[in-house]
Amino acid sequence: MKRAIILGTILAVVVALQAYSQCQKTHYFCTAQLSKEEQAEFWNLNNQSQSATFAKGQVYEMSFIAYKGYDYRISVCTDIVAGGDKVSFELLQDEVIRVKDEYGNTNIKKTKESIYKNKDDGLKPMLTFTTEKTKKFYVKVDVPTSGESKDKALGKTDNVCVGDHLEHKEAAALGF
Amino acid sequence: MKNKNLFIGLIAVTTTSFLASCGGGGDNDIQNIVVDTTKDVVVEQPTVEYAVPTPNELFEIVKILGGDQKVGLTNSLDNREKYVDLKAKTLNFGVYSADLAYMSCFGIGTEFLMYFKAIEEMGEELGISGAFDEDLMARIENNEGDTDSLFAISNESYYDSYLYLEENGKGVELSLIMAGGYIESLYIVCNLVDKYKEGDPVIEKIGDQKLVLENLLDFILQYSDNPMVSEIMDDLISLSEVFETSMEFEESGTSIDNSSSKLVISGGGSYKMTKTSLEKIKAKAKELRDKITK
Repeated sequence: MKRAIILGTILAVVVALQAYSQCQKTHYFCTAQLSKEEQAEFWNLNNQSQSATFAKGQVYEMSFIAYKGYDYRISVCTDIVAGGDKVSFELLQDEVIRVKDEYGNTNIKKTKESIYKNKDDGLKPMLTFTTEKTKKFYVKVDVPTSGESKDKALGKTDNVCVGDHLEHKEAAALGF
Repeated sequence: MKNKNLFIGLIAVTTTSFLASCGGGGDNDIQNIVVDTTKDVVVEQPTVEYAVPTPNELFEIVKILGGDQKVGLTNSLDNREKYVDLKAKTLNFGVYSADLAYMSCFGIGTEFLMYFKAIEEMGEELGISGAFDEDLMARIENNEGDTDSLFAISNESYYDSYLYLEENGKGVELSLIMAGGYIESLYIVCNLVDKYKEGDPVIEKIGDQKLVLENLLDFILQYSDNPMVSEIMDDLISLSEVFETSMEFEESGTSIDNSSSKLVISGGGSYKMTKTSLEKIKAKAKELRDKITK
């Protein structure tokens, strides 16, 4: 019995690691959702791209830094088999302002400000943007509530792989 | 990847640190940093992952902006034998990785192979040799002198190491490597600048490392139970205080232009570099770099 439990635990760990390992590359497949023209455009893979396993219905956020003078293209995807729900995502930025408190002290206040929702844009899987100043951004992803992972190890679980694929290229004119 | 809901904790830690260190004068006399969570009503606390740009990305941008290479900025390979314990070895694995990125980006190809071999050997000693592709060394030897290829190889190997370490649950090592790489990159870029000039894009990039540091701290916070991570985190927090207190905050409203296929984000409050901030950040980067390399 003890042996069976140990073997079962090892098997579960191996399956989980396998699933995790496969999920790590999910973001590489995000650009497959784009049009042929968009796929043919030249972009550099940004190493801030991330992939991970998440439970269906979970909300996931990735924070990344976008440098001034660069164009960024972000595409979000899951490994849910065809026919599953599309992914909804939102781009937010840190809004930093100076405020005075009741004692007249100056404080810096940070809030997250939503600047784009793909729900308002036909659930497009990709967004291209540029920033005049180097900033911290957040991509907030609503992991679909239904659909099955292509990954056999995850197929019977409540989890799916999610990828945030970030690319960059030099903007036409540095410094605007 | 792991749940990183602890980020609120870090904000509390850094806020406390900033409160303790506030001084200065005039408009930049900031008393506190407040994180407003009332604007977005979040029903469920999302899982937050903090990504950090690699040294390669920073050097690539600095080079495009006109940064000139300088010799003698990388950590000498003669220092390698000094790194005996796990912390020193791992931090300096990150330092040498950043050196490799700098050398390949700025076309200092002659020492690339020696640095890469050193990193590979250190990786074996640290038990992370699986992060290196078997034919990587052959690719380097075949591309010696081709700086574009060497830069691509260095970028790829850094990212593969990152994925390998995450995948294999080596978050402590990853945190130390990223911290070492960050400190070395900052040290190098600071030393590419001889004197302060307003609007110098390379100096602006040094200021931008404030944001990169915030994400780095948020990333490594999840491993801060480990004393080695906790120690380097203290050092990084002291550096973040230097950024925070020496840079000038500039207020500006945000504007979003979505009239074309590309979203253009302008304005927004930000921190600006000054002569004093450059001097202080440069001095602090040197202090931390000396601490981990000597």
